[in-house]
Amino acid sequence: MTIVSAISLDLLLPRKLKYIVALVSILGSLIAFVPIIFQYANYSSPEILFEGSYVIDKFSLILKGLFILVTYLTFLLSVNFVESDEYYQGEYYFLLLSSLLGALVVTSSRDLLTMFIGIELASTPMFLLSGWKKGDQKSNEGSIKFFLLGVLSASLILYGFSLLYGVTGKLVFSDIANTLIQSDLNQSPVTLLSAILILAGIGFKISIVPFHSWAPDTYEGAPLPVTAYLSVSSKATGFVALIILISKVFYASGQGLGIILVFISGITMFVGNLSALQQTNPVRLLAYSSIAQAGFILAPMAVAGITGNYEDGVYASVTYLIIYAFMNVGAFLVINLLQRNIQSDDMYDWGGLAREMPLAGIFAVIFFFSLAGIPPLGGWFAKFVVFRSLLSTGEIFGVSLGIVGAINAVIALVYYSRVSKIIWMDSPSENVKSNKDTLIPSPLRVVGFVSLILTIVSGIFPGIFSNLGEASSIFFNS
Amino acid sequence: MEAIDIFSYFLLLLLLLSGIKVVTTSNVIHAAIFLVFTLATTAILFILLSAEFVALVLVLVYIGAVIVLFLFGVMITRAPLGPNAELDNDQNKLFATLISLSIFGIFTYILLQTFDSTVVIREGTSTKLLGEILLSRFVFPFELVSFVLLGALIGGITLARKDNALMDEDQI
Repeated sequence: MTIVSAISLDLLLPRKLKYIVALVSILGSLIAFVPIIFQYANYSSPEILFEGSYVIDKFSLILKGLFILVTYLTFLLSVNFVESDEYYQGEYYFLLLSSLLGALVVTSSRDLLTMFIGIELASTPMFLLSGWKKGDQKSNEGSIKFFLLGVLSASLILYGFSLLYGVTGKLVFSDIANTLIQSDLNQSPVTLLSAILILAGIGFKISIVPFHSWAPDTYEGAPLPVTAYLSVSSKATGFVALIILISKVFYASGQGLGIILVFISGITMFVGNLSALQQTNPVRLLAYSSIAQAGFILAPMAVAGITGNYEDGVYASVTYLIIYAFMNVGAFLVINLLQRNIQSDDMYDWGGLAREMPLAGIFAVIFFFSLAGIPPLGGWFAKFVVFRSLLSTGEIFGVSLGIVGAINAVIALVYYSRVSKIIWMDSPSENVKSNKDTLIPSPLRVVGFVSLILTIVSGIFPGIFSNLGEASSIFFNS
Repeated sequence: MEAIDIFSYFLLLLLLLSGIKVVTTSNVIHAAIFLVFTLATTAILFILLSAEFVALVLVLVYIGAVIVLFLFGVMITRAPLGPNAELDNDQNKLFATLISLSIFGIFTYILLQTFDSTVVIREGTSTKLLGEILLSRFVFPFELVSFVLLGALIGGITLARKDNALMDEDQI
C-alpha cells in the first residue's frame, strides 16, 4: 500500500502554478483511487510490512478509499471557494494532501509509533488550515483554540502510549495485547489509565462530549471546505485510530473501558443534539450535529467493549462512519451553495431560497433528511446497523444506549427538518439582499451528485456493505 | 545509599524546583531560563540512565535551538516581558487545584504500584544502534515526520507572512 503513499508524495511536489495545482490535486486524488481498487480486487491475504507495524488488509483498503474520495470531494468544494478570495492556493492543497497522507497511514498503522505520527500528520495541517482566513477574527480564534487543544490531546495520547510501552516493552499492537494477557495486566489500573489517556486524547480529535468545546468555534471560523474536511475526514481519522486501538490492544480489557464509552456516547448524543436545537447559524448547527453523530458512531464500539463482540461493533461503526461522511459533505455543500446566494450567518434569512435554487433545495432535503435517518436514504441504514448492534446484545447497557439513541434521533429530526422547512416553505426574509447567484458551478455540481448517489444507493442497496462485514472479520482475526 | 542515588535525588529536586519556577514566574525571559535548567537536569538524568542520544538531543535541539529561538523571538517582536493582567484568570482556582491534585494522586499511585522496584535499564542503547534501527525498521515513520515538519513549516510561513492584498481590502 506504499503505492498509494508514493502517489500522494508525487502529488505534493508541484506547488507553484495556481490553476495547475488545483487540477493536479483533483486528478491525483482520483488517480490514487485506482490502485486502491486494484488492490482490493486482487486481494488475497493481509500484507504485512515493517515487522507488523504497517498492515494492508481489506479493512484498511476500504477506509483508504473513503479518505481519498472525501478528500477528492473537498478539493472540488474548495476550487471556487479558494479562488474567490485571496487564498494561497498551492499551500492550501499541499496541506490538505499532507493531512490525507496522515489519514491513510493511520488506517494501516499497527504500532504505536506509526499511529501517533499518522495522527499528527493528519491533524497538524488542519490547525493551519482552520486559520486560513487570515483577516478574520473568528478564524484566528478558532484556529488558536484548535491548536492549543490539539497539542494537549497529542500529549495525552503520547502519555498513554508511553505507559503502554513502559508496561509491555513492545511497540506492535498484537505484541502489546499478547504481553498484557500473559502478564495478566488487562484489568490493572495502569492499562486502564493509559486507555483513558488515549481515549481523552483521541476524544479531542473526534469531538466527543467532555472534549468537544473547540468544535463549534473552529468549524465556524474555518473556511467552509476545511470545515467539511474537519468534520468528516479528520473526525474519521480519530475514529479509525480509536477503533484499531480498542479492538487490537484493549480488546481483553474492554469491560471497564466499555462502560466509560457507553456513558460518553450517551452524553455526547444529548449534548450535541440539544445544543444543535438552539442554533441559528447553519455551520454551528452542523458542528453540534456532528458532535451528536460522533456519539452514534461510538455507540457500537462501546457496547462491543462490554460484550466482547468486536466484529459486529467494528462493522456497525465503520458503516455509520462511511455513510455519515458522504451525507455530511453533502450538507456542507448545501450551506456553501446557499451562502453563495445570500451571505448570512443566520439560517432564517434563507426563507424560500429553494424556489430560486431548486437543485440546492433538493440537495438540502435529501442530505438533511439522510442525516436524520429517514428511509430510504443512506442515513437510515447507518442508524439501522447501529441500533441492531446495540439491541441484539440484550445487555442492559446496550439496550439503554439504544433507547437514548432513539430519543436523540427524534430530537435531531426536529432541527434537520427545520432547515428544509425554512428553505422550502418560509417566505423570503426582507432584510437581506440576494446576490442572484443561483448558478451552481460545475465542481460543486459534481460534489452534489457524487454524494447524492452514494447517499441514496447506500440506503436502497445496503447489500454493498456486506463486503465490509467480511473485511471487519478479517481485520479482527488477523 | 550510594553516591549516585544521592546525586540523582539531588537532580530530581533541582528538576522539580526549576519546573515549578517555569510556571510560576511572571517574566517570560525568566521562564525561558528556568526551562533551560529543567532541560539540562533532564539531560543529565538521561545520561545517568545511559541514554546518551536522548540527552544529546535535549541539549542540542531544545536548549541549543528551541530556547534560543524563543529568546530571539521575544527580542525581535518586542513582546511585553512583564505580567499581563488581561491574561490572568482568578476564577475556579480552587477547582483547578483540586483537579490537578487528584490527577497527581492517581498518577503517583498507579505509577508507583506498577513500576516500583522494577529497574529496567538496558545496557548500551548506543547511538549507533539507534541510527541503524531508525533507518531500517522505523524508516517509514521517520520519513513521515519530515512531512509533518514540512507541512508545519509551509503553513506557518504562509500564515505569518505580511499580506498586503488582504490588508488593503480590509476583509472581515
